[in-house]
Amino acid sequence: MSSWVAEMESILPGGVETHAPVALEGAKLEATLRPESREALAASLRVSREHGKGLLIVGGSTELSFANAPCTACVRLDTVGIRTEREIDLEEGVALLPAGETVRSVQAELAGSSFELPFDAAGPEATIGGVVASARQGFRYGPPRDHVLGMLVALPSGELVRFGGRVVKNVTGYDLNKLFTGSFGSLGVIVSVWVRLQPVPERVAFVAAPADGHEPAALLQGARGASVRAAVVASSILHFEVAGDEAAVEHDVARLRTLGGEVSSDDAFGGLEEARHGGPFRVRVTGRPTRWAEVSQILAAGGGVVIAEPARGIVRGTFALDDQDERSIADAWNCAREASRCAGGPFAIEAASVSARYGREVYGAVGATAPLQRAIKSRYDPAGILNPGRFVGNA
Amino acid sequence: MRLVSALRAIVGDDGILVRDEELFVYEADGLTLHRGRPVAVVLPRDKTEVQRIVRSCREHEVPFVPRGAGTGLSGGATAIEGGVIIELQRMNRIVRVDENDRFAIVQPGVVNADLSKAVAHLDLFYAPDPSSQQACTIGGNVAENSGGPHTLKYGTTTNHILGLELVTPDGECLQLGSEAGGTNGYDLVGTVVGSEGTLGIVTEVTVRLTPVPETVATMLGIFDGVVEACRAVGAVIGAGLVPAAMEIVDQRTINAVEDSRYAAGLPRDAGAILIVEADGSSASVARQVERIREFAEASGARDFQVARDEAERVRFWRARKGAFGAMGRLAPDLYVHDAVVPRKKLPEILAAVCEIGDRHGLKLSNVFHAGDGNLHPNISFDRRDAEEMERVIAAGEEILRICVEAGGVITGEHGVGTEKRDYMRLLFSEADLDAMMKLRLAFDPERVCNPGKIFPTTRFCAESNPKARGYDEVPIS
Repeated sequence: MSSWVAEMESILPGGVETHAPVALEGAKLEATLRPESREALAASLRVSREHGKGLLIVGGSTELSFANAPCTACVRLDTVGIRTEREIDLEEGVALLPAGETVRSVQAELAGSSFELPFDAAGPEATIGGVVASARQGFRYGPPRDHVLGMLVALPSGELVRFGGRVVKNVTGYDLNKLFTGSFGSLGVIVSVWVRLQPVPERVAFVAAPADGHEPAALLQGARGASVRAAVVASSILHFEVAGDEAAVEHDVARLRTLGGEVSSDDAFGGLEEARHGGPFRVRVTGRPTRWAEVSQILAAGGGVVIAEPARGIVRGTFALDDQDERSIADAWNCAREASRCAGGPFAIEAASVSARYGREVYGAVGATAPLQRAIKSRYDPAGILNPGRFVGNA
Repeated sequence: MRLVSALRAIVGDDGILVRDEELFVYEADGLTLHRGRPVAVVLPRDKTEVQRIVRSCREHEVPFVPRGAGTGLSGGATAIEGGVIIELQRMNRIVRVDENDRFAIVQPGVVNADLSKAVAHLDLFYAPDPSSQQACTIGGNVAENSGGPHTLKYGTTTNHILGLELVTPDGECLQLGSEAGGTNGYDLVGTVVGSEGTLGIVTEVTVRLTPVPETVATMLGIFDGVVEACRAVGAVIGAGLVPAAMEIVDQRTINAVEDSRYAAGLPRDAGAILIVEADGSSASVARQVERIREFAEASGARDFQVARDEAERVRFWRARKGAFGAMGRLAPDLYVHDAVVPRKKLPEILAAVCEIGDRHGLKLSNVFHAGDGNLHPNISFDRRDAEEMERVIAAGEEILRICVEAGGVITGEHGVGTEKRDYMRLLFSEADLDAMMKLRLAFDPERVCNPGKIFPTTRFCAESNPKARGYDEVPIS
């Protein structure tokens, strides 16, 4: 450790902290790195690679438990203090945002402008880099992959590389934005991201309708309205957010009234996001939209509290289980598998204790693509220093 | 020729082309500047045949190139380093349509427009609409991440692909993504879309289908100049409106169209026309039309019309969609350029593009996806005239340089292929290119799948594995 520390201190003056082992995500972390510039970040990756030091990459810590366990890193790398270029171009509707900046702060800065940041944050600490690295998808804006135009990434080789750009249409070379979005810091550390902002809708209306008494297909039809930006079923209530121009919103609200929907002044989605983010054991199943009700039933029958997004085919179940009880963990896991089969799509364990994840693949079955995924990982991170043990195929 | 015999055994006599007059057709795709003659063209019927062809090519150490309709404009489907072309047009079945979950599973040879026609009775359509959609295939669209006029609202191909079946460069068959669109691990679907056929051969595609909008309104704004038309586009988008399409046609193109069979009755003295399409509910579209009209008139539109019926809608679009055909009257060859700049830079870049064309004495005109900042300068020329060819190439390079200097990129929807591989360094450092090459090597360590594309030749040719070199290599003409 000592030669690594000495070399690291020369790169990160004041940015290296050694300490007694701290347990996090199954790892025993003996040091913390806080690079303040992208160059320092890149150099710290290179040195860590040369010394074989595994790094646990940490942004706002809001999605840390969404990963395989245990992590075998011995050093924590904090990304929140990395300074880099930043630009918000409201004429073009694009922004270049540092990975360590919080989603909330950007949203606050954009308030009152004609654009908004299309990221759903898990909490006030969630960072731009964390949302992109975890492909964190909330109720409103859909997957981050649809909004990322370009990025700057630090690789374990110590190189800083750029993909994409600031323009909204671009097929110049491979779309590595897609590869790095949702790669959970396993291939490189995101430094900054070009994002396509979204126009602020002229009007937003909230509608709540009772879910009971309607056929699932009718509810799905309602959730698929052209201006329905979010539709969530929770506790037998179907919550809608309808957004667009006045006429479009009025049109969809009128349609939702046929489902018994009533316009509400309350934005229920903040509370739903919090409930969705709860634990201690949370499953996400992504499947065919028409199966949402059956999938919900399976998760509910297994003891899960269910939140469903019918139009996106996403159903989440939160299980209040004892993480020392191996039997109940296995039951919840099997319930997720059964729901996934019914859905016709994959499942993932979004949150669970380290012990519940230990030895299990939280990303579900990766099947025949596992060798290819490992080949990709080994090309970008041949020494395996980035989030070791945490991404697919490592359980 | 052991390879040809082996391939014939896989696809039969009617599934392989080897005669010179047959191969001549496959020397180029839509980019006629770059040519390479394959040693054979094979036409498989299913994925098993594709796997066997790939394995046979590997055994004989010959590269292979997947190809759809050959409408691409960057040389991506050309056997520039020789080898075998795997032509996928016979794999043209729509395997399954699920109207409730709104997806279709199709083979790669399905023609883009045919898919939308096939699902029209379900009030669904396939949104990406490249200008070649009457001929280009879904497989080719996946390779190039194709766009089209309606990209502005609906996104490009990558936003509409849920899953892929991929025959890897070593002949394995992988299922990427799912009917539901979800994926575990790396986003391999998003990574393969737009990879220009260099990471494997797509043998089945699961596409998202989109509901046909309740109402569509097509508008035509007549402007005295391109600057005013661009100003209108900026005003509309700056106000938060997202029309389905915003296309500008410049005066040179208007006159070429009016001189052709595509004549749409457009005023020849107009500096530019702006075609806007809005869709959605009737009430919403009516409101969008009024707001767009206000912005257009405030920006200097001297006339603004809304199509009253389908015939008029077709007429408005004729100026845009007939532009490439109209160019055929001007010269035997057409070089359709493709670059993107920040939208606010469009007026100055267009002025510079025209200056470049004039300075080189070329017939250059512009049609472009204004809402996306996606330029298509079109140069009409005769490739038999070597001196004119040099001017075409020089002008093209200058255009790319000014677009990059303006914060733009060298291709928005046509891909890099062979056309722009040596311009990649205008945008990317060696480290950036190395990062792309890591992906290439994870899929295809010996670079036998569509070699010679995307990456600059000046570096990577020298480094390439001998196995990746075609034994019947044809130099770039």
